[in-house]
Amino acid sequence: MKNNIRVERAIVKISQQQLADEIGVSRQTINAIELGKYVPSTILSLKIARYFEKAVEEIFQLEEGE
Amino acid sequence: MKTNNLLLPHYFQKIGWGLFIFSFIFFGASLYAFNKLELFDQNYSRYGTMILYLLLIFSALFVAFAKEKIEDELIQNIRFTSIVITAYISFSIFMIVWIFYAINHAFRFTTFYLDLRLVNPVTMFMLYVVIFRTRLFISKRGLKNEE
Repeated sequence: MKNNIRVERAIVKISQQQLADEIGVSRQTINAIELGKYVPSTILSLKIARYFEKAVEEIFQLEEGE
Repeated sequence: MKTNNLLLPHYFQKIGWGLFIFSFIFFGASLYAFNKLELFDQNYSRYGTMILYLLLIFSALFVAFAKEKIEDELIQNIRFTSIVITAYISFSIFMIVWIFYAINHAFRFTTFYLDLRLVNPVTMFMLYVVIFRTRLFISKRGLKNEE
């Protein structure tokens, strides 16, 4: 699964720690999601999408073969 | 998987480590004293070692089942996979010990003998703590690059 969180963060110009504080998770979680090491739960991905004011599919996309 | 209500509060972790180190040192010292210097009375050392065993087990329990400072879903995921890996390793060790025991029994060997008590809850707790801490450390190590 691909995600654009790093790009969205750069657009809004906030760091991983700030995003983590806004959403209410640890910085490790945001880092692990960006690196593709962890697939967030539905609630967490909805919160991230709501923070960036975009739809979930614009931030997370399925890859080929999933 | 929501394990928020099943875990002990965070301060239990420090209590657990303190208890573990204390009982470990005390246990080692009492073993040494009992074997070398005969300081402990027979009756006293029985109760003493029982209390120390209990302290060791409870301290391992506290450290294993205490919350982290920040509990979020990534940590729960790491905790879950750590438990699974601990189970796999424990099963494997159990099978290997059992195979050794069967070979010994069939061929009447007296060497290569492993005790089945190698796999017990206390060693499984400690194994789980080691695996969990290692995975946590690996995931934190990826945080070094700040941008």
